[in-house]
Amino acid sequence: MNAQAGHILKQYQDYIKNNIKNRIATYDPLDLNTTYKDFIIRLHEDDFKIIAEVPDDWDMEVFFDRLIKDFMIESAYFVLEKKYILYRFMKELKFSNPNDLKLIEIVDYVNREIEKDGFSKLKKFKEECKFKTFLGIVVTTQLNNFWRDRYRTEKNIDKYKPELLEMFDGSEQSVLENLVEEDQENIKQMAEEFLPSILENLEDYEKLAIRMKYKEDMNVTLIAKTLRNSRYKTAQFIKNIEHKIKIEIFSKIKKRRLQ
Amino acid sequence: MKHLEDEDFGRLIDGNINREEREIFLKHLSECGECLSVYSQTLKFIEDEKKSRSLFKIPSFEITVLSRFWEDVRRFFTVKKYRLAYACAILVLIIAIPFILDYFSNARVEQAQVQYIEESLSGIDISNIPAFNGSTDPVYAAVRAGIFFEDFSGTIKAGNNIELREKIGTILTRQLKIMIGENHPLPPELQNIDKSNVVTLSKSIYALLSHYGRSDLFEFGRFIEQGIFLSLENKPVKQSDVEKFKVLVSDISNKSLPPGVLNDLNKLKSNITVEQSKEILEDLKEIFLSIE
Repeated sequence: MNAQAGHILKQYQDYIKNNIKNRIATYDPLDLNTTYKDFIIRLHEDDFKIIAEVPDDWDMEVFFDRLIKDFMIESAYFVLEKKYILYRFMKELKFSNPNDLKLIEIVDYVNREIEKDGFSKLKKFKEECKFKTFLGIVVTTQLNNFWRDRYRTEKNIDKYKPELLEMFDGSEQSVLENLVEEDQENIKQMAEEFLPSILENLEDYEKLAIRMKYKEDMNVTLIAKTLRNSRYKTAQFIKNIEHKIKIEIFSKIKKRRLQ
Repeated sequence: MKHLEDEDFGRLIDGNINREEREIFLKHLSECGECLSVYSQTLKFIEDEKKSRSLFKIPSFEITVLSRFWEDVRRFFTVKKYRLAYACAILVLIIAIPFILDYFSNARVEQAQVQYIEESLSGIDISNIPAFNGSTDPVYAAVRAGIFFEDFSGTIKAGNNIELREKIGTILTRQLKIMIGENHPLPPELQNIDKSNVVTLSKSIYALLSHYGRSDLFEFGRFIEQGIFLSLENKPVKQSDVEKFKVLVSDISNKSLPPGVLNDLNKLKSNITVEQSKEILEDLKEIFLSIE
């Protein structure tokens, strides 16, 4: 056994435990005792090889701090991986069979991207939010990259998920359908023509709320959470914007007719 | 256009962000479809995940504990020589069943309360506590003290969520200090709180606030939060309480309460649904808790 490395570990045991303790809430669902135990086991591997290879002039606290962070990132990733990638995609992309080849292709792509270069994407984590939220974002970004990749190479993503075509072909059609109930074709056509500029001229928060409702299909609870408002006030806010858009559309139609 | 960083989305979702940055991020989301799509997809997943966790937590616990319990009962009854004991056991069981069911029902309610408290506090930055609406106004602070006291006691009764408890404790302490000043001693129970002295703490705070003539407002804050907790159990608020606080609010509203409080109380009629009542109470709560 490398006696000096063993001695260093003993000396920094309290520091390691406190360091993990201070971080543990960020890395939910890891628990303190298991993480500490696993980390110490990792250090014992190959006769304290990790510690023994640290150059003499390194600050050991900085070394352990970075090592603990990397270790917790990897541990939390392996705990959450299945739920945050496989099960999430099964639910969102409506696959009922975990062995479906298309699903495996997507999951493999995302896993590979996250794990490549020693988890470099995850190691950018600055611990300013919960790790699982961060992982959720990284997975979403990789999934979108997958669609972009396939769209570039095959120009056909229907076989994965037809709804994703909307991602490349954003349309305000649903706003129109909801706000203009008239049957007359020419009214609808005019409304369709005026809608983009009306939406563009909305205030930032109004634009965001309308996009969240119609383009992203978010419910009032999620929109309220984003705007940090109550559900009731958010619903009122959206209703007012819709009313405003409707009035704008019909005043423009009226103006056009008078011309 | 420079897109948001992965961690920026995370901070926005977790609420770990200051107002200035939040406004910048939201402005970006209103203009950038790509970032909005990443944000909305992840937020939907994270919120779904939270819900499924709370759905599965309690039932699985019940199934495990109950199945073990019945297994022990079955083994016990297979030994013939203990017939008298069987009879006693059945009797004990009959008496115990309502208590066991009550225990699990309470556990479920407590979990739902803690989840609600966690969600409602997730957007509050603990380092920025004085920034609440009317932050230095003792009237607002008294109502907020009532709201946070209920959160505090709900968290303590539900178990060992130390992080959440400390967060609420800090906010509650701050509200009490706004009312009584920095130098006046706070109730000692506040420092060393557990299930056994929650009631004593409530009495101490009540007595302390009575001295400053704010105990009614403290009770009003408690009423708002208790009402929301009741709605989690699908129970309505008591009309007698609504009437009592209407009188209180109309007495003081002209002087110092924010507009809209009496109006919200008037909406709490007996014929509304529990869901509507919850929305009104949340609205009422937000009047006192919105950030300036």
